[in-house]
Amino acid sequence: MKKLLALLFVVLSASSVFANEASSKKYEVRFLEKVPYGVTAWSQSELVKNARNREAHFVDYNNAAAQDLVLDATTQRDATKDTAAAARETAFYSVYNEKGWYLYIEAAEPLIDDLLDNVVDPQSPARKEGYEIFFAPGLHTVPYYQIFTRPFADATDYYDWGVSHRHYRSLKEFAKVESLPLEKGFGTFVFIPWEDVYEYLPQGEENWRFSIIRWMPYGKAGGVSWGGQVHDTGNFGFLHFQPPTAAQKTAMEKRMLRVAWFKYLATAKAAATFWDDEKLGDQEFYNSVLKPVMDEYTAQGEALGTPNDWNAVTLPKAAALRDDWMEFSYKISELRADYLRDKYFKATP
Amino acid sequence: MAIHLANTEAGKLICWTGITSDSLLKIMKTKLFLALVMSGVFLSAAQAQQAGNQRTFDTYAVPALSSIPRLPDKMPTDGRLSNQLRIVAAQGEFEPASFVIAPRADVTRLELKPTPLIGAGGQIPVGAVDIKVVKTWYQGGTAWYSYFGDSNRRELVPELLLNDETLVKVDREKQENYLRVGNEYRWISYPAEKAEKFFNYLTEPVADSKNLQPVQLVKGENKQIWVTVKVPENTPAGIYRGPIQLLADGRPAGAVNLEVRVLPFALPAPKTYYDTDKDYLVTLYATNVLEVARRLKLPQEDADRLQLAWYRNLIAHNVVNIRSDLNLSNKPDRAQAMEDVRHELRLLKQAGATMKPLLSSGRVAYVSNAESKEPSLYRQRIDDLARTLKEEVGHSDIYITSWDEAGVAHIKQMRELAEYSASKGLKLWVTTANNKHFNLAGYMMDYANHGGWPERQHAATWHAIGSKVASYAGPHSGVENPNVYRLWEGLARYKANYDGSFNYKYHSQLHLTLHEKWKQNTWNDFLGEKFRQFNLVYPTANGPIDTIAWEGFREGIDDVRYATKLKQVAAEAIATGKVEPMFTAKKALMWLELLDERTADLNGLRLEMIEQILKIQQAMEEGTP
Repeated sequence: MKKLLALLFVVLSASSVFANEASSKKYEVRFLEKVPYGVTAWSQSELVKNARNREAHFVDYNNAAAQDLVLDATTQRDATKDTAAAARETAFYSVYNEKGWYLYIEAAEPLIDDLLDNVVDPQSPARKEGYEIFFAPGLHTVPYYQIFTRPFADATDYYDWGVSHRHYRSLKEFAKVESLPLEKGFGTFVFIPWEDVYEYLPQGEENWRFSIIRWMPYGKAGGVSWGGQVHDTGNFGFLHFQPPTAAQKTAMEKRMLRVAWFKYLATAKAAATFWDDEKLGDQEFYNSVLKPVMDEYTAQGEALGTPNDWNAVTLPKAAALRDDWMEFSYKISELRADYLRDKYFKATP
Repeated sequence: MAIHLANTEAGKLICWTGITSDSLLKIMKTKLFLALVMSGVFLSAAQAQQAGNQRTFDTYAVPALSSIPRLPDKMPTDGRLSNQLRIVAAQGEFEPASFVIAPRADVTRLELKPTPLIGAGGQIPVGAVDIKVVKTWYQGGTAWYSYFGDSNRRELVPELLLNDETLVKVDREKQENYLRVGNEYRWISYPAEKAEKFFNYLTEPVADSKNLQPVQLVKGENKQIWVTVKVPENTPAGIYRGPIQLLADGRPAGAVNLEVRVLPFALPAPKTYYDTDKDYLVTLYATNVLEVARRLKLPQEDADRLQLAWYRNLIAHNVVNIRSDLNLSNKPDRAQAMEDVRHELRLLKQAGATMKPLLSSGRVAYVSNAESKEPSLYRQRIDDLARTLKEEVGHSDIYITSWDEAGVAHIKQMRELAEYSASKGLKLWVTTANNKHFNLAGYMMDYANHGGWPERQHAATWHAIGSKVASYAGPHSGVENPNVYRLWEGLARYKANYDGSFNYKYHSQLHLTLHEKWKQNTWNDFLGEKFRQFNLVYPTANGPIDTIAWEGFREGIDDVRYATKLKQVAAEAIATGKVEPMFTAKKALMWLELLDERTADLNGLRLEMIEQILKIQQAMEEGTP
């Protein structure tokens, strides 16, 4: 009975926590096999033509809070606001498929022609127009990511709030961001491949914390937000990833395993070249520790056959190796650390 | 000779200290040995538990410095089921190790008792083994990743290093924290609207125990233990071993066996990557107690005691270039201000801080209203400072500062003021970003503290005119992940050719004049501020309480010291002109240059630096007839 009560309490607590959070905005991210890539493709796509996919419930960024952002020494924002400035609509669309997560932002800008004309001036506020995109791939105990892109300065900054390790990778090496002017504004395309966040592949009913903040200094229109202020993850909205079908889930996992396998092969090849080098490497470490592990991993991978043919039988076997394949450079470091530590405890250096 | 047995992971008994098997057999037959076995001294936790068929808990050795938060409900995926802890450290170095206890049953009082570490070269005394429990508590939603405030969400994070875990009580159901203040617990996770008054950390009776207290284990709730060994400076190289004995509710529960490999070298003071003759300055903001203590009318004796505790804690964590309040600004009573400067210098000296160069925290290079009307007053203040320094420490090699994150108007004022201070030999450090200071006033800035993450191109800009560069806010303090500071205070800045670490800040201080109005409480992360509490330590009337982030800071600078050692021995080897040592050294330098410290496993990287140092030393020894 106590267990039942405890379970009930946990369930109620969890639902009550989420009830508060669920009062925020939520966007349904659905699986779509063929996703347009880039601003041009998105702006002309059926996805954008269908109003059901459009989310435009942005609210004004608190002006006083925006002025305080000058205290942020890591990012320069221009939150200039003239109360007479016309409102600009900001909308976004988002889908996912087996390759990754896609975001497309379409922003109305009545001064677009003028803005483009002024972009050539390095001091023009047109170059300070910007989007801050925040997301956390989950609700608790997960990292959060910040992208700041300035569509007319051709500049995107990725802020590493985590430190690279086995379970955290910078967006810099993975994300793709593109901005282009449109007839009545501009469009921004963001793609995050699953390779960057493969621990968080949509499996069931995942919710990600998410917000976009748009800064519009050119039109002196201040800022708008889809949820909360900068870094304010507790007030962000949510992306709800619609559960993939079994086939879609398999497609995602299969692709990720294939990526892991080829990444492993490339890392292993480079590692062998270095560690087995008679002048620069450490052949004792290579032969006694690293090579046996690589031989084993390679044999296990090769035994599964051609990656394109991996199936329901072979996929679980590959899945067991995914993390070490994907993060083989960290695996090598761990092996090397163990090797050196053992060596130091065997004899006095 | 002490005898230490351990249960290896493979389950084999091993003898540690070179005792022959015959001797061992004789010892094993004695009643003393049997008594000791019965008392659990020689047993691992697993062994003891298996003997009684009651495994109370498992122990997992984990990397102390890790980006993985150790939480009660998470098994350490990178841990090893083991009762063995290994540390590799240089002579004189502080080095941490850690393990996670995974309880299988409740234990009301688990006692952890370190013993001396015995080796062929002697022993590391028990006093050099410091054990703390890592306290997890609720902090803002971004706590593990960022210093930005996120009061609307609460995450359980590991942070405090405590002797007495009951100093802070955590209500997991309500997600609230309570701090023991004297004999009562006070709520310290209240929202801003519930704030009643400021919390005076200089006087409130908050005290961690002086020694490690028993910890409570709850079945299914993991607990992280943090072990720091301070290797005495004169310890001969070799292996030193000793158990940390465990008693569960008064009954022997085995031991965690601690092994320390002491390296055959000590770590040098950190030098810059680009020039091993140039000091790598390690500085932090907000390290002064005296000024706020005076405002809060703390007796001078107490203020001095706390200031010394702050300084000693900073120095033990590699912050030796302590930025102090060495200024005469804002002080109408010049004679008293000069006496204050002398007093502070004496405390710095007493604590063992580096006395040359000095760094000032105060806005020395600025003008008050009175000074702007009468420039000779400013010049007189600079003269007084230079003279006081020369009289007290024999030099005026000091970096003074001016307006923080100055705009163009203030930059232009700085240029005027710098002409006089420079003529008196005083140097200027300034917070800067985006080259605007360089373009307008780079010529008069001796030390630029650049906002944001370190990049080599920033360093190159300032080095082109012979100035030093450091950085802050990349990121500020406040993040709980210790590897953030290990990386960014350490090899990331160092390899970017920076001249030091100059971050903001040691801990959130009480504002000198607005603390009451703001109802400040350094212990509360839920006051709805834009930024979290910037705490590498938590200040108390009994000295600072360390955090795992603060240990990450120390390890970051230690990484720089290892890299400095590598570069120094490499230079020696190259200077021999002999091919083998020279090539070994250059290979090590190639490795250091090529390594990507921003994605590397920092624990592995440290061992690789050690390996490179030892290889060069060996090559030099073999090359010596």
